[in-house]
Amino acid sequence: MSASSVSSQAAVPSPAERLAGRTLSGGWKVLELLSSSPNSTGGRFSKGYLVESKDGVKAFLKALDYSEALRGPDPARALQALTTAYNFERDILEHCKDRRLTRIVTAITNGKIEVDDLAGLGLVEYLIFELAEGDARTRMDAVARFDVAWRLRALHNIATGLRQLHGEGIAHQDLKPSNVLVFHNKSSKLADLGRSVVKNKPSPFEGLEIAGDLSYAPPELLYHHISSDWSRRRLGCDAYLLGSMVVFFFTGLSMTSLWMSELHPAHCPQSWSGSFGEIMPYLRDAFGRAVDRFKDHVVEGLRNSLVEVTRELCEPDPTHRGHPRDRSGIGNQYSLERYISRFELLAKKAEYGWFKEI
Amino acid sequence: MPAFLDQKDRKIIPRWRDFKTTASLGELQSTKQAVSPTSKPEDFLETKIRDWQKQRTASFASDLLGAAFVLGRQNEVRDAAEFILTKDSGATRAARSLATKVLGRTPPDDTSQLVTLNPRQRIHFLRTRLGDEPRNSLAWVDMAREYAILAMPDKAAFAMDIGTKLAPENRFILRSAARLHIHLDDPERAHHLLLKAESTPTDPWLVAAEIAISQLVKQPSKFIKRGRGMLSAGSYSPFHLTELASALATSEMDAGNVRNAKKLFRQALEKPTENSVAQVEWALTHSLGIELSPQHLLMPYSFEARALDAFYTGSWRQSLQESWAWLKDQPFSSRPAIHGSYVASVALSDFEEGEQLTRLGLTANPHDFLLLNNLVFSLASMGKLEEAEETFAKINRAALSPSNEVVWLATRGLLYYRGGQLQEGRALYQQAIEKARGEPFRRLRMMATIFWALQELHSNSFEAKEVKAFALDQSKGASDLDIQLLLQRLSSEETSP
Repeated sequence: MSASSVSSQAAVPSPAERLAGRTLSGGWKVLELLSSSPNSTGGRFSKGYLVESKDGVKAFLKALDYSEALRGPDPARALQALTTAYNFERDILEHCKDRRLTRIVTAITNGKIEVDDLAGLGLVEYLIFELAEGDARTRMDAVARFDVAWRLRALHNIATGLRQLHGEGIAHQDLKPSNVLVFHNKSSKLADLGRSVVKNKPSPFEGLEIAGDLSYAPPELLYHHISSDWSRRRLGCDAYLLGSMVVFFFTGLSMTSLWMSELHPAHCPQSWSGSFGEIMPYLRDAFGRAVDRFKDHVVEGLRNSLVEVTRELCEPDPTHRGHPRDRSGIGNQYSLERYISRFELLAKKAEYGWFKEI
Repeated sequence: MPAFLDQKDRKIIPRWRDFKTTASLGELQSTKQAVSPTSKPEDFLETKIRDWQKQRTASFASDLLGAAFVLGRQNEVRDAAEFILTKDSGATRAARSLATKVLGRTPPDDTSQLVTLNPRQRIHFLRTRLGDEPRNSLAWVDMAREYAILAMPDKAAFAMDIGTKLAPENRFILRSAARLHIHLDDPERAHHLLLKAESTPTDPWLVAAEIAISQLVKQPSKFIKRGRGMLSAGSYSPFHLTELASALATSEMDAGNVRNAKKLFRQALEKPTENSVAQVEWALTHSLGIELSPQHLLMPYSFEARALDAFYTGSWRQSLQESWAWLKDQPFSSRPAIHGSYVASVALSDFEEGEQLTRLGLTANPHDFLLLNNLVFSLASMGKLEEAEETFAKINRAALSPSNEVVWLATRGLLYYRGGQLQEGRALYQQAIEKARGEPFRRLRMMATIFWALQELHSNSFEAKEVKAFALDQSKGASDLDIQLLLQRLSSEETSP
């Protein structure tokens, strides 16, 4: 089938869009198609559903939509890429489940279902996840404006999730507010491992300079300074993204947008054609101003700690990123252990009302 | 006698402004061709737009706005920016600030940086900043500049050393460092810094600086050939080449190759910096036969060129105003205060303004002879003789050049006249005139005779008539407008019967 014939049938729901009302293997009943949902990461190549188990447990189903892939200029390649990405995500989720990574949203189950389709593409593959209440953004809007305790607890959960992944040789690469899911007990987990990169194993997006979302990416990747060292490139990126989440929880903006707004337009990645080393003085200056802005958004008792954490995690030069003690030692420069302890301590203090609100 | 700015020699030495101002002038853009990324990353903006449209809350709007800003797609998220700016949006100050920027409602940035804080306040601010960011090389360089303004050379050199160690290949830092070392009378060090930097051979801005400074230290430049190659390579925009073309043009002028110099200055004017415009303005005084368009003089920060242009056309008040702006732009430089104080005291007889200018110029250059001299002239002209004598005593006569010796003698003469010691004054003016023999001192000699005559007239002496006649005779054929103005003033002064 050609791409044009598929697009001529664009109004006809694709198989992935026709799962509502069906019962899947394991007794899962597909309740409704969701236009947007907390778990609906994965872009336009998937559809999200609310599903219910035989025991009445509600969950989220992510169905792969092959028809979207067929609309592109090279359907065969797109299909192959989609299948590879699905298989990768499924396998990595299985691995995380087997390894009991508690701060990662793991799939409850996965499977496939045949849906009648004139185009002969009726097979729909799916993943079923535990149902989240929302992502970091929805939670931020729901909680009191200065609910510091929740933010710090979320940061602790996120850092723990990243450490769990790193321990398995997996770098998330796409940590951002929409990929932090918040559950009914208000705890947070990392979602969407589709963009992650596994050490010494092929990953669908490892060939891209920026595997994750461009708009949150660390400076070295935005300026095409790609290290050949796996840890520096991948774990360094995750460390930056964790620091960026700290900034997001207090300013509503990513660290990247904050420093870029302090940079002269000629020095922004779109305009700059020099090397990363050449941009560094300008970047460092803009970064300093960005941290100053961030500082204004943090309650006084917490300010120094979080500014220090942000400076270390978001340090523009990846060779200087990370905790000073880990940078000077022989271990993992981007180890998150110290940050986890720090977030835990700060979260506890906040839960006991330690920090005076602004 | 007030001293004027020596226009015999001018090299296109890099300007040194604070980082923010320099960046705003476009001088820190990359000169290299853009590198295409090997793969196009996904930006997920459409997903974020959908999320925002569904949720319409502060967090979704802020998240979308930040992402769009990074991607340079601000125009697609104006509604989110408008939402953030509503009173009850619940958005943070940072998000509101970014929304304001995205919607173009940010008040125009005061890139002029013309004294919102004084240098000491700026040093305090920068030191605090460096406490948090010790690796911020730009802040070190900006602090060095403030120290230079306050005439604290050791601290300026120390701060600059750290800046250059942190970023030894950076254009802004190298050019700023070169300018500082020239200011500190160590052009050899400035030259060495540029020679050893690995980035110099590939950066036309640094090659330009090296060529200009090699002219200053009277050593052959190592990059003349490379510089010529850059001009003809076609791989740099005219703006990146303007100071290089000016430096090479100046080099050709020095060698007497006027035709080549003209060609190169024309190339420099294709898309010039104000420094290039000022260099051409200087070259015009050497009958080079090229023209500056009014647009060139209207360029931002073209204070020097406008001050000189106004001077040559006799627009004294404008020249003075531009000198003030020039001094505020380059507060560590003695040149604007020398020029401005000369215009104020000679052309406008505004000795108070002359005093203000010289005092400001002396903040950064407390031992500068011309500034001290012009201050003495202003003070003496206002009758503040005691202060004038005290200031005059600060001058180190032993270090003066022959032309400055002429000025010194004339000013010493003035002080005697104003102190009622006419004979001593007369003798010194005569010594000054005697010393100013020969064509290179022609202008200086005319000035000395005119000022001598003016002092005789002011003292109502018997010799006044004779000296006046002598001065008018000596200044015949003077074409400079300032000299003509002085002659008019002299002619109109009545002598005692």
